[in-house]
Amino acid sequence: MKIYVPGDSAAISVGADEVAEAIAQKVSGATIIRNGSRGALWLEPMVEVETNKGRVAYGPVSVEDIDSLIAADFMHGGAHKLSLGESEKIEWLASQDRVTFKRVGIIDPLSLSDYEAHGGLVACAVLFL
Amino acid sequence: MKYSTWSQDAALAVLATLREEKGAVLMALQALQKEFGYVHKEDVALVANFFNNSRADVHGVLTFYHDLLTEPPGDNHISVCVAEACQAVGSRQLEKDIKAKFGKEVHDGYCFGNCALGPNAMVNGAIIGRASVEKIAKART
Repeated sequence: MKIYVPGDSAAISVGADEVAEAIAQKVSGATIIRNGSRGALWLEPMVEVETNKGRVAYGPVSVEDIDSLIAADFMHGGAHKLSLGESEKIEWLASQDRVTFKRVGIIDPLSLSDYEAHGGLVACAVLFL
Repeated sequence: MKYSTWSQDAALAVLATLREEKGAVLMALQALQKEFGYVHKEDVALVANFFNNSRADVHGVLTFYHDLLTEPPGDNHISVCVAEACQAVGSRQLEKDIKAKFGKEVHDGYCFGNCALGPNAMVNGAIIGRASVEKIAKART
C-alpha cells in the first residue's frame, strides 16, 4: 500500500514529517513515499493513497486526524471529512497544464527509478545508448 | 541551543577555516554566530583585520542583516516573519504576543519563502507555517 506524504519544506513547515511518522507507526504495511508538494499549499500536508481509481487525496491532514482517517479506511480511499477525491480531479490541479513541474508531486524526487518510470532520462537514452 | 563560549582565540580559529575564501566577511560573521550564538563586539575588528577590510565595512554588514545578532541569544532562537505577506495574515500581532511571552529569544525575520503558509516563524532553524503562539511554544526546546 503506497501512501504519499510530501517531504518538501513547505509541507514540513505545517507538520508533514509528524504526519508521515504517525502513519508509519499506525498503518502496518504502508510504504510511505515522500513526494514533492503538488503546490496546493493550503491543502498541505496533503496525504495521498494509491487506489484502483488512481491517487486519492486528503488534506490538510494533521497528526490528530490520523486515527479518524484510519477508522474511515483512508488507506483504501474511504470517505472522511478531509477527503479531496481523486488528486487529478482537484479543480485547481485539473485546470493546469504542467510542463517543467509535470512530475512534481507525482514522484519521490530522490528516486531515480521513479523518475525513469515517469519519462525521465529519455533524452539521455537517445543521446548515449 | 548550545554554543561555545566566546574568546579571541576561539574566534580566530573560526576565521582560520575561511582563510582561502574571497569576500568572506558575511560568511565569517555567519560562522562566528553559528559557533558562539552571536557576533561578539570584538569580532568586528578581528574580521576586519583578518580579511583586510575596514571596521566600517564589517560593521555595515553586521548591522544590515537582522539575522546577525550582537547579543548572546536566549535558549531558543525564534524569528517571526514580518515581511509583507506574513504581515497581511497577522504576523505583527503574532510577533507582539510571542515577544510578550519569550522576550529576548524573539527576533524579526524577513521572509522565509513560505508565504503561502503564513504567518511564518523559525524556531531554532525549523520553519513553522501557519504559526501560532501554541505552535511556536511547542517547538521551543
